[in-house]
Amino acid sequence: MKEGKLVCLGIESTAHTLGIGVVDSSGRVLANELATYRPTDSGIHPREAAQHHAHAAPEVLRRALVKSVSSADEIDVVAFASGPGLGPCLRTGATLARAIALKLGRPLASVNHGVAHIEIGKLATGFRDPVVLYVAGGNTLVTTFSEGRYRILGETLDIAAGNCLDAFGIEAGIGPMPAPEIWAAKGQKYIPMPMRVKGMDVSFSGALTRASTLLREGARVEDVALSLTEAVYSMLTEVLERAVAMTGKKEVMVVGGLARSRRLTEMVRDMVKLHGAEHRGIPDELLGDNGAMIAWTGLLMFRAGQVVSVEESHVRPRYRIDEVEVTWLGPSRS
Amino acid sequence: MVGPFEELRVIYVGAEAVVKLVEWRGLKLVAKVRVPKPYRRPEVDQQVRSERTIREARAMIRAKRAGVPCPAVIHLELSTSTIYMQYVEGESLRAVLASGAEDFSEIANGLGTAMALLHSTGLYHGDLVPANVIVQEGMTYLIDFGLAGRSDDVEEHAIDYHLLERSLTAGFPLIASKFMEKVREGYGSVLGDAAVSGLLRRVEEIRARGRYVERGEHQV
Repeated sequence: MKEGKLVCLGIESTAHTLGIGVVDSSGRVLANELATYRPTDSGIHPREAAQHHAHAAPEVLRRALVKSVSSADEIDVVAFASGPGLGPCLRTGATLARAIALKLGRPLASVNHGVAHIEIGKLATGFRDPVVLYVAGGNTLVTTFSEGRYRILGETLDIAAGNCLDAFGIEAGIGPMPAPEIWAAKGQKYIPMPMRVKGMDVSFSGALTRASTLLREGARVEDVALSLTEAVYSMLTEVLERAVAMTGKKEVMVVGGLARSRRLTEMVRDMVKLHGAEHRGIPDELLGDNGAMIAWTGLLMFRAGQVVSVEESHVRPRYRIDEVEVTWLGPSRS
Repeated sequence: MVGPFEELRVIYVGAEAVVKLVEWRGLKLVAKVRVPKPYRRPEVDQQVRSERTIREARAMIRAKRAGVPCPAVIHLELSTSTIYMQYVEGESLRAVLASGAEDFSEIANGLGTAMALLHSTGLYHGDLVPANVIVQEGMTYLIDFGLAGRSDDVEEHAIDYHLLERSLTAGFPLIASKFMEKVREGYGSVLGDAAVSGLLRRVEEIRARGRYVERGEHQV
């Protein structure tokens, strides 16, 4: 044993990114390596992405190991993201995880990707019981811990916020995020957008349709980008605010790729002041999809005895965060 | 001139609005003021506040006409995004459940009935959570129509149901399913069992969306 510290290797492969991270039980990120699939045209092709991950895996794994340990034997647990995500991509990561676990004779932890975003965010911020906005290309939800699970307080009723902005950027010919936000900074005029907020749920398809219509009608791309980003971020900040008001919790964090947005961060910071709450940022490399977050969550699960056998290590493309029994935390402190 | 409204006390400070108890010509009223949000651009803020104030007043008037238990609109002041309405005394459903009330059958049934009346007139509430239901001597009043709208589409009605169930599951996991069973009974007593099953089917559909759905080649 290495001074009693446990070491976990985690594999992320839910979508574009193959990430392999190594984390120890003191919360130190020893390695966080990744390779990102960039589609030649607009969309992500699950099978191509999976092939990319399979291709990149040996090199990413080698880099992660070299940076973190002197021998692979030092790894105590192997974790993988079992969902939600694209089936072929998930299977690639799971296969790699099983192979490593079998080779080293170590247990496997099956990690929910969304929960991992939250847990690594808590590690980075030091927050214990935050209200969380999780916004990315494929996910948009507001959640907080209560009665043994991360409960979904609100989510998108149609497309994810990141998906909305990416789709707009691609249609406008400027490319996906962060391009829409960069162009928005040059916008001069706000054109009213449909802002659909229902309780703590949001809907972005109306705003996306309006943005497309405006583009076709010849509106300035900068103005449409400004209007769409302002509308989308206002909706997100509003539902987060509702969650803060409802729970009375004082810690607020935003996780997922879209949390890198400066404008969204600015709005959230302005919002939390109204409620005497605190927002803390998370380093970029821990915001996007990464292996360290899977490793850290896998470690927490392992310590709570939440491991799976190779036979049980299925992937779950539609794995919701509220399906996860959170055994590694005590009862809610709210 | 309508005024003066004399402010008695602040009832509730919400995420979106401040609700105050005011007195007007000896009558107690509720004033709901939508407050500006500094995090939004001023144009966005103005748009959101006035759109919602008008929509809310309109929905309340329609709901009242359809027999939905809800406060009556007395006066509208757009310059400050304020609605003056009837004061319904009572406790919020959230407070009632939080205090550990065990006999909630009548309340849940009444809530289902109110919801069905609302839907039958082509309205949806848009924020149907326990905090937005007032219980007064066993009667359930719907309040906060800020996100309400008009639609005969079962989609919007299903979202009402979905929101209510999810917020009960999040806040009161132990009684949520029993409570919702009674809500369905009340709903069915107004609109029939076919409407209930139609609603539930759409709820399932909604839940299957809004997640990381594998969409073949075009997941951006």
